[in-house]
Amino acid sequence: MDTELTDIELFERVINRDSKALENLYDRYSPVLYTLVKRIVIDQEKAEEILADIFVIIWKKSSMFDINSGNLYSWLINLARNKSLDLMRREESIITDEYTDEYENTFIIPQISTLIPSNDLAKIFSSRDKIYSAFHNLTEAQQYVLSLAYYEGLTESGIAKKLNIPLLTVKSKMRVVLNTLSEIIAKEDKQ
Amino acid sequence: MIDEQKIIGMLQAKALGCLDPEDDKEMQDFINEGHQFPWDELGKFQNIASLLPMALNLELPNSELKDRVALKLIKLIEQLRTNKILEEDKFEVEEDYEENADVFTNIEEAIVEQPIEIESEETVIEDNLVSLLNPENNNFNLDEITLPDFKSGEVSDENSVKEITIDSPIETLIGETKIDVPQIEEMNVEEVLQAPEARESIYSESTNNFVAEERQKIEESDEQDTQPDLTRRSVADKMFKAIEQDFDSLKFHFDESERKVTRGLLIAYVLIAVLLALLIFSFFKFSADIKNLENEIKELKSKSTSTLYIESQPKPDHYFFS
Repeated sequence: MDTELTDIELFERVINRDSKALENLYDRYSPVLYTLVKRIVIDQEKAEEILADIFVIIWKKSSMFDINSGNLYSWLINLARNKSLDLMRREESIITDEYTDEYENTFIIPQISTLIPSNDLAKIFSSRDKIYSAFHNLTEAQQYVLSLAYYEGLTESGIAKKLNIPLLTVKSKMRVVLNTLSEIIAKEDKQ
Repeated sequence: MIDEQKIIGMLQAKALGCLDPEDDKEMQDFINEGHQFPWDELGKFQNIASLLPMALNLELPNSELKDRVALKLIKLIEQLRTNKILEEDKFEVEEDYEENADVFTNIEEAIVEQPIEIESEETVIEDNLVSLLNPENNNFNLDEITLPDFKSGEVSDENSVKEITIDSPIETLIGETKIDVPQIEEMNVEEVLQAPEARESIYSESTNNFVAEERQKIEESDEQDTQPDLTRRSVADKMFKAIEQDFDSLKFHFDESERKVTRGLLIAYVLIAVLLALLIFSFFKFSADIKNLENEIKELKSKSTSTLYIESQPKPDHYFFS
């Protein structure tokens, strides 16, 4: 029965403290979240630990998700990314702040635009091939810069330093990469 | 003035979460200054950026991880429940304190204000009497005098007020004033006025009763306050209740699994019985078939030997009639 629910409907139940709904959400989202977390932290044990923590945060802070945005997928993906990068930065002593409830609300809970287009995991899965091909249509350099920013959590100046290229070049690359990706996906959606 | 085009150029990096802190601050300032921020554009890029993990080869987490998540959540719920209980208890203690504080205030009012009121009325009477009466030979009627907070039910027959008459020109002036005085015995006005102890005795009994009651209340509340382990006990009770609930749920799950096992065993027994019956049936059937076959073989054998015997039998008349 629950498998027929949309992401938002399912999450509404989670907000209303339905543990079965959270279990369904886990079944639905754990593969994609685990893949993302593992891509960031590499280590399997750490990835599993982080994934467990993510679902605890989801349970605790579900009310912080703006249900009107209609895009649970982006919220969860950003939550998983923030949590994983936070752990990595703590291990590298880049972040030394105490992990408090307030810290979690500010830096781990994603700040998503209220005008984000609505999306659903089922819908995304159905167009996964398009996304895959769109990403692989980017040049290797673009893919590399993108992965440095997204999976390694480097800032633009960090990327510039790492690649020993001017900051402006990195900034323009970032703009081009995301615009290109956006155009390819939009184009494939039209087809 | 922040350039709007510059902000638009930062949106992609913001969506990818790789904006430099200085740029991020600039963007925040732009938003805080109340400029029109392209939230829809940012939303679009955030949506695109979140699709990136879909380009990875999906991996499944360990199946045991789900149980670990469940365990973590149970621990969290337990912790929240304990915190809630502790908070409730704290709140109850605070409420008790506030109630006790009210009682204290009431008692203070009762103890402090009431005598003042009585004294003030008394003073009025005193003033009247001192200034207008000659107390030496005169008595005044207290029967018709009533104090404001007096409860008539509290006056016993023995202590009922007796009529005191005042032969005075100002009798009518005071006569209209009514003060209900509990437990007052007939007294000389002078005595009342001059001996404060006697005055006290007029009001003391009812006041004492009231004070005694309130003291008892305070003592009771003090007793409650001086027994903090009782509160702790209630916390422990609640925690035990919570644990009991958990045990109940575990027991329920255990019972359910036990029922399942019993059902499985029963099904297994039935299957074994059916198989055994089939075995027995096939045994008898096969043994009967074997017997039949053996009989047939015997018959065949006997037939075949008799034919041979007949064929090989020499003709009896071969020798005699050859």
